[in-house]
Amino acid sequence: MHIGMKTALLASCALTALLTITPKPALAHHGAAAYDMSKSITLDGTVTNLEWNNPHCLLHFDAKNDKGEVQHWTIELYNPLWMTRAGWTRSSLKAGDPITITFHGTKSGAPNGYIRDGDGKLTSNGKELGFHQAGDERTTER
Amino acid sequence: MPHNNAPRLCFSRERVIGLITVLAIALVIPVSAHPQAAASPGVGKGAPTFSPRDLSGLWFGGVGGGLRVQGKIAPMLPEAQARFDANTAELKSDRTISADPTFRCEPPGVPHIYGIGGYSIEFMQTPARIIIFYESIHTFRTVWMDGRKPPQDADPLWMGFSVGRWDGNDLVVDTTGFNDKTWLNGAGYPHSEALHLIERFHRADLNHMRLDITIDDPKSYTEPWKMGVNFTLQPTWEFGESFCIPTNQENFKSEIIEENDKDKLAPKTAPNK
Repeated sequence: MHIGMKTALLASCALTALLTITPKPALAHHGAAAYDMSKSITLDGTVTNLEWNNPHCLLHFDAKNDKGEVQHWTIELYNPLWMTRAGWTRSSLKAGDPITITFHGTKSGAPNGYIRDGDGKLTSNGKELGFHQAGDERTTER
Repeated sequence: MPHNNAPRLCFSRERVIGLITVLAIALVIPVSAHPQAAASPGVGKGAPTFSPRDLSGLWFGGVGGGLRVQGKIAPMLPEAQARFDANTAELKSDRTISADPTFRCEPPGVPHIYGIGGYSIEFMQTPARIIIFYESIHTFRTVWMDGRKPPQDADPLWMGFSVGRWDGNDLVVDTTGFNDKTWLNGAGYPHSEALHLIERFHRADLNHMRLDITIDDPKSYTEPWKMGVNFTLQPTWEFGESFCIPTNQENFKSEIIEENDKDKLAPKTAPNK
């Protein structure tokens, strides 16, 4: 019986893998053309605001650039329902919270970015804030 | 007493009966007693049972809704081509499409409704009709299952008029009566009021449902073409509230889209000298 269940589980995992490796375009809602999805940026910063709105939640933070000047960044997160299903609340990050964030920057150089489930990473006070929705068997849109 | 001291055989009658009982329970429990625990895809032996004509529950199509073109998009007729060119002018200059009417919170129509955000849909069924709820813009469609015909000469509708039937265990939905204001998807493909949409929902197993969409619009395309969505059941989710708010959309456009494309936008006014 154990072997049977293991086989079924393996078959199930294999099917899941097959179903999830299909390439999916990112940000189909408004297109990801403006973002450089081939590279990631990692910054240490301080949260100034978390906008909990459609169509995408927006995370605002300040970070010092190479010259030591403070630069203001705005990062697209997922929509509020998605964020909730990924374990967030609107007060998960507050003004003044320190963060380390890995995201995709813009091709134009505008200080905006897009963070996504899979290759994005966000930690605050040693705690990771994820983007994977509970129950979603898909990995990421990559 | 020999009876008490007799060595026990591995395959005594009691043990065999006990083993069979344990096996039977182990086979049955994952099927009937713990359907929620079996949230991973049900394949092979021991897959949870389901009623293929019961589509109730929340279904998730993936990032961006999951709407994908299947195969090739049929060539457009001249009027549709002109509309497509106008819809995608921004894309041609390498800018993000923001001309999509859904950005202004106009109803997306069908199938575009399946291509908005990472939201779920939910089915509720009665004998006479099936209601499909769409979380993305907090709206719904009625699919009439009572054999009625679409009304003649009715006002064109944003979401069309839908009648459904079961073909085997597939739910087949025919929708007509659309207005021509919506895009078929976020990539700007237009349609006319002659659009006839055929949606075929096929529940492959407990957790997976395939939607095949045929776009039949003889006034816009030389032949029918297809789109589709792969849905997964989300037994732990609850239908949430998500409205399209015009001020949020404008804020998003100015903060993100226009900012990102700043280098590609023509200056609004000539610089002062």
